[in-house]
Amino acid sequence: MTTSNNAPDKQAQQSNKNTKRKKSLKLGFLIPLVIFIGLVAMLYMRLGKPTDIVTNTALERPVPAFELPLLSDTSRIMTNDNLPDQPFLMNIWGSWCPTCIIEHPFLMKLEERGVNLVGVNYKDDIGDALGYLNKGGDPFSMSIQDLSGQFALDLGLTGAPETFVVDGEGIIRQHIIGEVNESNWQSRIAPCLMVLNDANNNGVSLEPSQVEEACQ
Amino acid sequence: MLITELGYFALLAAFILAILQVVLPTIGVMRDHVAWQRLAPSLAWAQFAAMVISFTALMAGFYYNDFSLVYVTQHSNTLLPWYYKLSATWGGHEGSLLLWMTIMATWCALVSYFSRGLPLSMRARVLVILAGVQMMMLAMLIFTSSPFDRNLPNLPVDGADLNPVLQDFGLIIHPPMLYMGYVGMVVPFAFCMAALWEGRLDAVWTRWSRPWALAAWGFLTVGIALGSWWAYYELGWGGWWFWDPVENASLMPWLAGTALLHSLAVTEKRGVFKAWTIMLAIFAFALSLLGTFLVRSGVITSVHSFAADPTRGLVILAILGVIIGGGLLMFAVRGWRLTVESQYRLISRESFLVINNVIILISTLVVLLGTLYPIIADSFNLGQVSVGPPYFNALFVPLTWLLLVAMGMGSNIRWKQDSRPLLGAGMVIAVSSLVLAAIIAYFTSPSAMLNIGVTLAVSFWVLLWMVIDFKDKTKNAPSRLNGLRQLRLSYWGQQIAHIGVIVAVIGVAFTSTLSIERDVALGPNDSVNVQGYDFTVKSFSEVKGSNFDATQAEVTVSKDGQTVTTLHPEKRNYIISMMPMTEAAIDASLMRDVYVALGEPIAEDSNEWAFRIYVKPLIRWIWLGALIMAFGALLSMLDNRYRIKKTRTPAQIAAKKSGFATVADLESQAIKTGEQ
Repeated sequence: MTTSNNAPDKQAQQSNKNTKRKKSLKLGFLIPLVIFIGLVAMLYMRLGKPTDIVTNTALERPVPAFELPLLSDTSRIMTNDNLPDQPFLMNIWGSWCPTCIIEHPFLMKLEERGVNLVGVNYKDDIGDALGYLNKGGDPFSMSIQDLSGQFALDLGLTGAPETFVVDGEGIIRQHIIGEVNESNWQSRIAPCLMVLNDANNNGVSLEPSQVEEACQ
Repeated sequence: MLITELGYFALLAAFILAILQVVLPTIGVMRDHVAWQRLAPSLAWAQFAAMVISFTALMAGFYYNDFSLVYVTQHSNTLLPWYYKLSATWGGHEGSLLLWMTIMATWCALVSYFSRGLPLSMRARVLVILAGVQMMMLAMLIFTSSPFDRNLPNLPVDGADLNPVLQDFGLIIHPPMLYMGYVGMVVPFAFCMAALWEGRLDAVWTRWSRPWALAAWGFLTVGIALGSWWAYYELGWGGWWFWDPVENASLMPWLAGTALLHSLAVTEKRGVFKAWTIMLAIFAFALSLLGTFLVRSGVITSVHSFAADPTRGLVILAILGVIIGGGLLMFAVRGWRLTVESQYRLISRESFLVINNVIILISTLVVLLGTLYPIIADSFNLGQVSVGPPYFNALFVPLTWLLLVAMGMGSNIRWKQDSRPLLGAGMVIAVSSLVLAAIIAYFTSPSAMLNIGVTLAVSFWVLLWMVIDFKDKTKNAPSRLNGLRQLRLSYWGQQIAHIGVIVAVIGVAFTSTLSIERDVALGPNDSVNVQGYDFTVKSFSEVKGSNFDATQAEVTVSKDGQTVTTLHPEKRNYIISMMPMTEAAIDASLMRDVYVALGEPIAEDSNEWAFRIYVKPLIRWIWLGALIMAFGALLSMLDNRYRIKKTRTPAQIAAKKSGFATVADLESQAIKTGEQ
């Protein structure tokens, strides 16, 4: 009697288990769709954001403190005091970065036009880095070596190449992601640098709104 | 010009035909109208013709300097040689999209031609899905980025220059090849979707879609190799792979496609992993579309990017969302019903293919994560960390080694269960390949023992297993030659593709660890010795091309007093764009490349120039390996089991015997296949 009574019970349990398993199986097949929707949402948020110029935490604050060797003579340690007291561009580069190679001739042009460039050699082999400058020419008044990438991280780097516009007092005013070229130079960087230079030459400190207008 | 106007009309016609190709056969499938279903192939052909006309018209616009078109003005000028004028057709965003869609239409037409033997309902569904993708892409092309927009009423007299980097043989051939592969991933996707839509639970569709996946993968392989080769000789910096987002965008569908090919093999042979295979087919095509999105939307900065435009980006993202989201939804709704048709044990080829798939998938995710990292970090406020070649190399290299270890075993082991005593053989092979590799690495490159040694060891491991497998497969034949002849074409394809992988991997290992690079300043008659080669500068001369001026150096290369070759590196100045370009001179051979590039003059008044000299061992092996892989894919594709034979009704067989078939016979057969 007992066995015959138990049998349908077990069966019911079994089928219950089966439907449960089927349900979780069904849900499992939804996972890819959910991940995909998340990814699309992420890409959507990113759309239309200017990816070459950012206004973020790196702006309106001094160049982070550093003590790093000079690339051309690693026995000499550079600090913030060695930075120029005129407005300048700080370019983060590496010999391994293809866009830096594309950007390089334009940096040479800028140097010819009298723009003061400071290089930060980012996570690079020193031999490769010096070879790179020998090949393409050295547009930098000095390059510092950031082997660990810590300084670049403090700067708020997102990748290489990137360029920061720093004013005469060592405050970061603009951040360019990706290559510097004739078009973003003319439209955005040169106007910013001009205002900073004027202010520096006349010895006046700028209102934040003025800087914002020139260095968007 | 009238002909370009015709091109625009043809493009609109193709759009309308694509809409019809979606709507009419769908109604046919829903209502079981055979005649409506049979419209699909004809519409595919018509759409193909319209796309070809449109594309040819744009090409004609370039050839005849039709500067009334904005697109032609931006990418071509009268000084450009005719072959670059033609290839400039796909030198920018709009034209390359048009190429994308023309290739899509080509795949559509090919599918409708080679799928004649498929059941009509399946054939119609596949073509509907292909046309659906095409329809959305055409809508984007026509409404957001038409290459046929006019500069009216003020026509410019001449156009801007085509980017000098693109004025090269590479542009002529690399994008069409790459797009054939990229876009070709749509075909396996369409087959999967059609199978799910029809509710097919069997694995017959994998056999139908396998040759298409192989074809697309082969084209993608060649396309990527061509791109790498182009970067190597054109950029003048001696590198062959930069982990640039756009390169990654082509590598990811390739990796996913590789996983798909292997998974398709299991599903076709054993009827397992069906859901997984469908997932991979969706994944591979999703990555192709994602690549298109990344390159054209401006979310990531890259050397290759087209002019970025968020509106276009939004449209491509919407298309990506609809197609892939739709695919995944279909997968979620229907996929769980797929059945498992067989069992397998732990030591079996199935298990090894699972391992293979997992490793390849991890590699794909590594690349995907690295490429999208700026976006992911941005949306989670993780702070900003950059990802560069060090990240990719650190993860990708060990994964490749691991993959090769699995590949050696996996392609040798039997399906379902392998009870041979493999452990002993495996130990012997492992030890002998380690010893062989250590000896070779010690003599060729004591400085980079580890990289070269491990790579060689895993390569020998694969090759020795391969030899054993050949022996095993031919042991029952009367003679070895006879046995080899009886092996299937797809088996040869598999082994040859695997040899290609080995060749490419060895090339990569040697080139990246043993290349010698030297920068020197040389004047006329100066000489330098690099790696046993003497480089002597003979002279400098001025050269004029149709649209550039150049300084050319003559450099003789000799070894032990014997002249090997004379090289002519150039520094070009393009007249219209004022861009300087380095044309490296390369003496290529199987075992090493000698590469000389001309830098800048050292000083204004001296006649010394900076030279970059590279000696790169085995670099050709990378591209040779890729070609071998593609050849393997071609062989597998030609295996006769993929030729779909039409099932004949007895009446038809009789009719064929008597020499004619009545219309009624054909109709009845069509209805039969329609019902299947």
